[in-house]
Amino acid sequence: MECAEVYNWLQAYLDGGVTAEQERAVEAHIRACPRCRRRLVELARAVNALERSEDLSPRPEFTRRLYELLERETGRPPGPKRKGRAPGG
Amino acid sequence: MVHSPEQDAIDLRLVERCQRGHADAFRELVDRYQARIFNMAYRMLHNREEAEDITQEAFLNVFRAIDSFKGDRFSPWIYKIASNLCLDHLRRRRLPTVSLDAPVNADMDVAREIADNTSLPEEEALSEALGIDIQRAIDSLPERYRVVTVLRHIEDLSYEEIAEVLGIPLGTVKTRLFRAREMLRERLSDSL
Repeated sequence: MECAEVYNWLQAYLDGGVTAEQERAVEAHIRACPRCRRRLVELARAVNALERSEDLSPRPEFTRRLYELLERETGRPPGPKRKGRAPGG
Repeated sequence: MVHSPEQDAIDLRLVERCQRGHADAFRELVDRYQARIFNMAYRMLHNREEAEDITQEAFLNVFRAIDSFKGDRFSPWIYKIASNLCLDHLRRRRLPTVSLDAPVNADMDVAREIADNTSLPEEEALSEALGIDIQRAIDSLPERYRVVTVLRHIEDLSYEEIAEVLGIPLGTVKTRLFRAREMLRERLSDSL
């Protein structure tokens, strides 16, 4: 298998989107080809960095401000419950 | 995976209660989705205040339109509204509105970043700095690639869900995601 062909399959391989036969062919190639192996590792690292990135939440006053706006829309409070729960928590 | 059939059923029950006039049900929808929608908007826009504004606008739009919602899943609907708002916002950002005394281009990004960080508690600024490489790499992606990347790898949506949210074919989702990941690989290969 040529590097150019593997190049097209590495992304699908990362997502488990290749057939068993393609998977074996990709794995045989990357064992023998340092360049494609390096590329696969770099792709996997980029995906991991995205998926490990910190989850962020809006600031505490955000929910209060949103409910004030909703009250203005309806002319009444958005609900009887006032749990005082931290937003995003 | 957060978008399971059970979660969809809970969402739909809340939507139906909203439609029957139970305003507290909308509060529960906000509780369930505000962090996810904010996180998506932040990763798209890399600006806390703008991300909050977009999140707020998304919920107001949902609130105004909820009586006419007839879909069988709430999650793709709110993501569609929020991602469209983000993309519109990014398009508007490109319009030339810079005044004479404002810093331009790269300086503007740096200025915005400093402004963002100084408004945060110290520890949050630190964790923000640790994630700066990945955020800068996301920022560097063309918008149509960025939105697919954020929905897939930050929000954990499936290819099919992304196709539904963005109204594009499944093959286009894959092509854009694969190109985006290749760009990120090139950009991050020195720093990871």
